[in-house]
Amino acid sequence: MRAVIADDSVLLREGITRLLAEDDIEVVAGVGEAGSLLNAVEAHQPDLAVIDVRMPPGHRDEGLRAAIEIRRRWPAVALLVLSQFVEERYATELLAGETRGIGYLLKDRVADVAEFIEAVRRVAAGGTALDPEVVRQLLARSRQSDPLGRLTGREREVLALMAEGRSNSAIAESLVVSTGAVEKRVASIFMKLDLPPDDEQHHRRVLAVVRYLNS
Amino acid sequence: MTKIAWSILLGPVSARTWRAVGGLLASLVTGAVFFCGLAVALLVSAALCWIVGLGMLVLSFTLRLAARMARFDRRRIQRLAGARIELAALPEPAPDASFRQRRRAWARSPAARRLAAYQLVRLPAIAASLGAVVLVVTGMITGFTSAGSAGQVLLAVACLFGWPLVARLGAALDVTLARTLLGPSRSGQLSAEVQRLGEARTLAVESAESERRRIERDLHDGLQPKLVSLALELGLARTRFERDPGSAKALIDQAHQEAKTAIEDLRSLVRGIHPSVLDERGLDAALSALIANCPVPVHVEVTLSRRPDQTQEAVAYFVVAESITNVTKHSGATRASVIINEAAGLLRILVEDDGHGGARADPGGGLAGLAARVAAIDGTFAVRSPPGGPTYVEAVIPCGP
Repeated sequence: MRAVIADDSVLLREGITRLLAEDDIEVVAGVGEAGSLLNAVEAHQPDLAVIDVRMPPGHRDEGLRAAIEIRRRWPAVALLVLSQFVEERYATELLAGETRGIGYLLKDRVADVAEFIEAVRRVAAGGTALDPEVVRQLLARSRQSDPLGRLTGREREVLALMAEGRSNSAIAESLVVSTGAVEKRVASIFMKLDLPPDDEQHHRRVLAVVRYLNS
Repeated sequence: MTKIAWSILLGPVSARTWRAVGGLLASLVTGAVFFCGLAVALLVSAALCWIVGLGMLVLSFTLRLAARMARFDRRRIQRLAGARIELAALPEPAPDASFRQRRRAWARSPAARRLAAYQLVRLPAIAASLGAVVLVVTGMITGFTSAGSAGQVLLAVACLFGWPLVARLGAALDVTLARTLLGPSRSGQLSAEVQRLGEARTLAVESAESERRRIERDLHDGLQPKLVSLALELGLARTRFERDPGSAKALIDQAHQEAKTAIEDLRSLVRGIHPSVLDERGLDAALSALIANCPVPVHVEVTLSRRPDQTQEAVAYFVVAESITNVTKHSGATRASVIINEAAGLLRILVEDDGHGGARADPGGGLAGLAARVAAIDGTFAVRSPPGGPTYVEAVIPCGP
């Protein structure tokens, strides 16, 4: 797998390069600025772009806007957006169009190597990875508080993990229950929230959940 | 006492008396001309006021005329009486204001009306003063020429020494009248002060905001990536620990190094926000660490009889800190000096360097931020930095009790 990294901190670029090398992901270009990111993606057509939200010249949300631009022009490139802070609003903007292969994580998550690599793999394979912090904000801001109130505590936990983009088996592992139990809960959540029945394409079910929380 | 007696005795021959007389005569002549001109203009505008718009047109023209007269009188008084008079703020319509708006601004300006009132009041007042002088002088002359009783002679002598006093009183009246009616009114002064305070407050709020943004950026771009990278190194080391202890150790070494630089960064960042030694030991002590980190040799001289309050100290400190940062980064100086002293309730901070100059307080820049901080505590801030140098940065902060 080939990746492009965009982060204005050289230290972090090198660190992430080493981290990805750990799992045989080749970094074909490392850039420190949004404009050169677009050029690098155009030149290398990587499988994945790892992008910092805040980059020169403005040090605002250049990375995020570059990500949206990449998605528009080269939809096949999976996007993993990293940031020192995560904002529910940015996630919504990222997920506004096609949601295949999109991740949005706090930068600190790189410290948990195995989990980070897992998220990278998931995004590169067309899945979704939303930071638990984003999901927390989405849940807190959701205007659908009534139906959410009908969920049991366990169901809410499953909903949060589902929104993060995890598969049923990953959810089962994280909650230490059987996959069958998770499947039952997922079905119950979809029924209670009146969502279309669970889709095999799990990025689409993330989308459904996020759209629901956002509506 | 003897001084007063002498000044009365020498009154008739002193230059001051004759200057007063000259001033009164000049005021009488200009007053007569201006009075007539303005009176005619006012009568015309009163006569035309029933025609909508035309009255206001003539009135605004009249008041502009009064402003020209006021400028002339201001120069006259400055030259003849040596008194400075601050003219009241006159209407300044926006450059793109319409003809009608300009007219209205002038016709409704209370300051301009006061200028017109001055011309109407001044002529009678000065004429009366000069009349009094003439009366006393006439009394003196008849007293001496008729040379009758001892009482008459006494009156004549009193008049001889009295008329200079009357003349000087008249001259003082001339200046006072001008100062009262041509200068800013009490409410004008207050509104100017309110405006100044409003601007200072806005600047202070803005500078606090931009300071917060600077701190956020320093933390975000400086420290946070280092800590993330440190966590990343340790994370990698942990995953490699079992299968490749050698490379894990190399990663731990690197993480250790990064942790130490992160601590150093944090320290200098915290010092940049507010050095605790400043509160605990004062300006002089806080400046030691500041100049220790400056690659250019800095001479520091702090002479204070007592410690200013915390806000004044902090502002003074940041004036020096920002200036020294500029010395290091931009000036190309080979030496610099910081002089802080206190006199007459004013704390004066002067930073000089022998660099190539060209420093400017651009909006949003460090020097502009300093200017705002100093202005917020009623101080003054000045940068003199001609191209080619040297650069002086000076702040004067009131620190009186």
